[in-house]
Amino acid sequence: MGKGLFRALLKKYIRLVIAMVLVSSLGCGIMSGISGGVLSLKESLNDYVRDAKYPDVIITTEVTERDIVEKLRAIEGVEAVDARLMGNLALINKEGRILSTQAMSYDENEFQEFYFWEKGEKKGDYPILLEHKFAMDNGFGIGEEIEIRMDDETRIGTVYGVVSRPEMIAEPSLAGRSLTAGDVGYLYVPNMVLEREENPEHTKGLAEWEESSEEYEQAKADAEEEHDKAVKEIADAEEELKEKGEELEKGIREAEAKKAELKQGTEEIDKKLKEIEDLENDLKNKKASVEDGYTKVANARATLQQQKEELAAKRRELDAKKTELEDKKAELLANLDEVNQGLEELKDRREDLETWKELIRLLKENEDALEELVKEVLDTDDIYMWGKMAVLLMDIYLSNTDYIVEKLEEAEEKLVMYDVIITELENAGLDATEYIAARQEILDLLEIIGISRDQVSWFVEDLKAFVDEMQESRRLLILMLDVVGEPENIEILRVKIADACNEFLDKYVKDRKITEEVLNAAMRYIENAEQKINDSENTLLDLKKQIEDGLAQIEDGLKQIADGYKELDGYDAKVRDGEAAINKTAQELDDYSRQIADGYKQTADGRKQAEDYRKEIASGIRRIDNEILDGKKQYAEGEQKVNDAREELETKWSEAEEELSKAKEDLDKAKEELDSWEGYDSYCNQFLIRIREGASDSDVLSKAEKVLGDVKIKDSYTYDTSMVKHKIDANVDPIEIIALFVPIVFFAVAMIVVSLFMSLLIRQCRREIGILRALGYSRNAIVLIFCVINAFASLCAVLLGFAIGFAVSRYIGTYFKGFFDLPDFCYVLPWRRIVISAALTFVVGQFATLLGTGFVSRISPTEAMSRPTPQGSVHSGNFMGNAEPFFKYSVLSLLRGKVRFFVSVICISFSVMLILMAISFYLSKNEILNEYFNKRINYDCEVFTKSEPSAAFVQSIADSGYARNPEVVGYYQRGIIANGVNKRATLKVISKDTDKIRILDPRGERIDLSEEGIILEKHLADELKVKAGDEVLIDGHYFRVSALSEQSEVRRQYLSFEAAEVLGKPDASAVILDIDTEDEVAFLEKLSRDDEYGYASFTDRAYKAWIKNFEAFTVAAVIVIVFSILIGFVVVFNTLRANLQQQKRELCVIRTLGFLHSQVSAKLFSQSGLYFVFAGILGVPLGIVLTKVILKSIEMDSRSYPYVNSPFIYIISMGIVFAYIIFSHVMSMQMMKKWDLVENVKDKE
Amino acid sequence: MFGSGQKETLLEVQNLRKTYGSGDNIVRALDGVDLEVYKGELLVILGSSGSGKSTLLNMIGGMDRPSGGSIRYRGREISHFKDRDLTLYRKNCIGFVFQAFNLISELTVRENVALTADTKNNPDIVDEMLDLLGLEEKKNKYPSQLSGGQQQRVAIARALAGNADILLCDEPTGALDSETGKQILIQLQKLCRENGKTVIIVTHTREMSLMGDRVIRVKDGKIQSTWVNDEPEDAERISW
Repeated sequence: MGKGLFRALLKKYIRLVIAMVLVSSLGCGIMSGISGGVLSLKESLNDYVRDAKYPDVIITTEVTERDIVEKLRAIEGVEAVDARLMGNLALINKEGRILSTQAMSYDENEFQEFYFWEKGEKKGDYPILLEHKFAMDNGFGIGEEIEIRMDDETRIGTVYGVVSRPEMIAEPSLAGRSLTAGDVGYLYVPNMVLEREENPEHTKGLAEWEESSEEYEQAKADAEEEHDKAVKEIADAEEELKEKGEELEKGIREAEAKKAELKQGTEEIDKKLKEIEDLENDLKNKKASVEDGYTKVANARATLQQQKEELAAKRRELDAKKTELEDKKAELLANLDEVNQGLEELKDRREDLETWKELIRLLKENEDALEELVKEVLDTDDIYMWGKMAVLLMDIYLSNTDYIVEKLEEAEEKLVMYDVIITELENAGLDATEYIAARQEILDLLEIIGISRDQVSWFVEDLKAFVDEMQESRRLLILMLDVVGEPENIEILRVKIADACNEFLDKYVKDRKITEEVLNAAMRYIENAEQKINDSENTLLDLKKQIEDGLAQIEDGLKQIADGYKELDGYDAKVRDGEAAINKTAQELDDYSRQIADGYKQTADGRKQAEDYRKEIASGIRRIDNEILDGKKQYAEGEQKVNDAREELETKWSEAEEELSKAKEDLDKAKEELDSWEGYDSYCNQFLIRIREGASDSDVLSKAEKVLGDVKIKDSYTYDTSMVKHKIDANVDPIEIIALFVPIVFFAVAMIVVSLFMSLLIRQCRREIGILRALGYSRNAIVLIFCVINAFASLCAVLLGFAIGFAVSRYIGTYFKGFFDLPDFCYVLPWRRIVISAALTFVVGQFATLLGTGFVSRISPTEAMSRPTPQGSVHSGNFMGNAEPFFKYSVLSLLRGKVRFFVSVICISFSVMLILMAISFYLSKNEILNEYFNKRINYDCEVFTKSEPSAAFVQSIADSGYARNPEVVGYYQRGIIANGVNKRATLKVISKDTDKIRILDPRGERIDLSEEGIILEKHLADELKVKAGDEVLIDGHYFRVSALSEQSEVRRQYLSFEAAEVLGKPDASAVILDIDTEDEVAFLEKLSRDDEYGYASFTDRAYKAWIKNFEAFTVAAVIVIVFSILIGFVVVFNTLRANLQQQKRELCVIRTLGFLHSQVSAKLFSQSGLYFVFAGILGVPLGIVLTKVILKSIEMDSRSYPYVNSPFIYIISMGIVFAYIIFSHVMSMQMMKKWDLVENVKDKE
Repeated sequence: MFGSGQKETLLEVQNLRKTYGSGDNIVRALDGVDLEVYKGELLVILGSSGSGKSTLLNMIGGMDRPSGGSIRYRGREISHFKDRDLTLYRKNCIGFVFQAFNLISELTVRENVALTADTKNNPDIVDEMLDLLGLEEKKNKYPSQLSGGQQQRVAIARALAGNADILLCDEPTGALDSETGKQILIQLQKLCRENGKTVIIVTHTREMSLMGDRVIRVKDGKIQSTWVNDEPEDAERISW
């Protein structure tokens, strides 16, 4: 029964069980995998360290003789001594790139053993061992031949082994291996390679041999060159001859073709001559026609001439007539002018008479007015009335008087003028009658009005004076009448006015008064005069008419003449046209004649040409034949010459070859002698000492130094293997920390999830449990069944976890191998961890089972079998206020199971945390690269020199054409002391104005170097417990900390040249520069020729090397991300599904009530949203904290890992979790669609 | 009183079939049922356990789809409705009253009723229903604070709040004692007589058939007999 039940339950809840197995297996897998990987790494490293052979004491000296080795061997405590030479060689890799290497001599007979990665056969003259990483980076393999260059000598080395360099173990990639990524390497060469350079005799012999060798080579080269030159010349000559032969043949062909053409030309000439003859006949006929034409033209000209003469005669006639009429017209016009003038004068006279009429009338009026004025004086008592009347009268008088005065003055002027004219006319004997009559008329009129000639001017003068007086009186009068108003004054004025009037009247009017009779007489006179004028006028008008008639006739006559002219013009035009036509015809005849003449000329020329051409053809044919003959002759001569030259060359060359061969034999013999020269093992400059167990290495070192005596020691140190181990541990420890943390976290999450699932499973089996209880199964029996299920799941999980872990650790192992440059990676099973994780898996699962089943089995069978009534708190919903009921339900049902909710939130938040952590790792690595390669350094290449670079070397770089802007930098390796702490660091000395290296403070702002102070890296400063402004001690000198920088290279500090002066010569020097070429090989080639050149490091290659070094980091991050996502997905998915299952019945009821699937889905999504929000609130801070802790813990001695606070991290980690929340929600909703509403809403009976 | 042709036909069921399983394990829950439901009547479907009465109710209520035959509601064929249309049919035309009440425990009485109420068109509907079922004073209580009868009344109020034409009651007194159950039946009868609702009650209790205007007896998935009660009994006089 138990088995059947077990199977049935397992089958029913298989999904949940599988989920549990997966999650816990992932947890176990991570635990064992990462732990196993790191454990294996440590073991592998330890094995490697143990197997690699190290000397205990290493002393580097100047080159000295090897005999001293015996003395060193005699030192107490020394077990063995090996001596070797160290020097710098250059290798040329497959791309032609020059690689700088440090070469050490080797002798396998000595105690120094090598750890071989690969070993082949010793071949060639110079079998070499390459250091493993150097060989790998440059693709060198066993048996490969490599060009070795030392100074100017080149040898071919054959790779016979790839070995470890023991010291490299202590410097794994994480600590910052050489930046050069293969451009600088290490190799072991036979003694003789390095020795030769140090042995003077051999060196001299070698030099001589080389000189001879060079001479031989030169001679050989010259001879070959000459031979080649001669061969080439002959070949060229043959080529030329061949070309000439071809040309000759071509020429012959062309010539033959030409001959044929020429022959054809003769026939054409004959044809042409015939044509010319025809043409001549034609011209003859044309000439006859032209002569006829000329005759006709002459006749036509004669006729035309006659017509012209007739027309000229007619024209002359018309001219005479016209002249006559015009004269007459002029005469009549002159008469008409006179008549008009006469009429004008008569008009003037008439106007004058009118004027006199008016004058006389006005005079009378004036006189009447004066008299009236006087009369009023006498007759009127009313002064004012008089005054007004007086003013009126005076106005009348004054208005007339202006006119009178003007006219009288005109009359006076006219009289004077007439007098003058008459006198002159009379004096000239001309008729002055008219003027006399006019004068007389004026005089008569004056007489009529009683003014004599002499009186006129006086009268006018007096009249003017009187007028002035009257005007003044008038003014006074008006004033008095209007303003003053005193009658006495007016009276006085009246008298005055009267007196003035009387005086005037007496003088001029009394005797001469213009009475009506006078007026009438004047009028009569004037009328008579007017009558005369009228008569004269009429006469003149008649005359005028006659003249005008005469003029009209003349005009008619002129018009006729004009018509006559027109007619003549027409005839003239016709004559001209006729003339033009004749001329044109004549012109045409001329042209035609010329054409005929030309035609004759052409035919003559044509004949001549044809003859000449015929002659030419004959001559051409003869010439062609001669040329062909000449060409053949020349070709034959050329051929002969080439053959002769070839024979001569062959003879000379065989002679030269004989001589060269003899010289080569001599040289080879000399070389053999040099090579076989003994004495190669005489020198060394480095001693490797292994000490006996129990002996003190420092003691041995000091004794050895004494033994060496005068030999200059460059460097000496003891090599403690434990130091290597310590360094390894220092670098592996951070990884171990990660290996501890991450799996524990994963495992913990996995266990929590498993507990949750187990609880869920048990809840879902509530009914079954109830039934079993009802059937009589004890609680223990029920617990046992579930414990078995859990044990089964745990076992599966452990096994699967183990498999996963194994795969993960193998995968990690591959990277560790390259990362730490291990020859072999031995996988070590982390038994302890496996056992612990298996045990925990089992225990936690069992615990959850016991807890869950214990709880459920205590419920009565009836209750267990019935639908559980959700026991929500009566106050649970109050906080939601008046929220929409369904929404309220969806939130509250989630919070129903608080523990479950809380645990689910924690699980999902763990997912957020882990993903955030993994992404942060990844970005941290990127930030290190960015900080170093983008923010900090700004140069393309760093050229290390053997010592401080000279100005000439620096300039040569600038002038090379390959690079620009070189700057010198220096390096010191020193201990920095502060507050009792001593930390070793690298001091980089740069120009304080440089832009090639940027130092940044913790905020990312640029810091400038000062002339005295040092910029410390922040982490180092923390270790030394100093801050900006404090002082540190370096080599006995105090330096002020001018600022703190923050960078990934913790052990790199900066100071200016000025500040570093006190430290003396730098330990290493370099020149940083920008590259202007893509041909790095050529650049390196040029650099390598300089004695100062050490090696070069290119920034872009270093960048690639770093990327490669960080691969493991990336892999680790990816693994963590993947596992986080997997676990997170399983957790979220199952949590949401379980959540949904809990609400199955209620949701079915709600669907029954008419809520659409989409409405339910939307409301349930709010539950997922709650999970998401809480998970984010918890997970993000946890992730940040955890990440910072881990990054801090993996900080190595020389590198720090920054935490990158980028929104990208949060968005991605939350985004991933949200994505699978959505996915889980969608899947759950799909599942919900399949629910049977009927089954789920009814209460089972 | 309710014979065909006298009242408006709300539902027409023709040759309704429902089978479960396949092959040798076929169960014919309904095997050709013909039925009409009239507006305003109290219809009792009587049958023993497994007779198919609940299945018939579920088909009518759009909870499940028939295997054959047709169901027409006001002339519209609902048996081929898609899930969405069936849901809307349940929302707008049907009110369900379950034996187990099926109230949402996290919601108050008022909120449970409001789940189905059409408050847009009739903002006071919830209160009206509560008043109708005598639950005014209990509106802020939770289901766990109510008696069975009160819970069932809440369920009835919820069923009515959506303004359904037909009230489907599946063993509405099944989870109640007889006295309480009687109260529920009185309520249902009142809804029918006074409010003109069409009520269909599924029960296995023979006595309850006396209160119906019409009774249909179901057996083995078929309608065995149908009769009309000329004078339906008042619910308060019924006892079982």
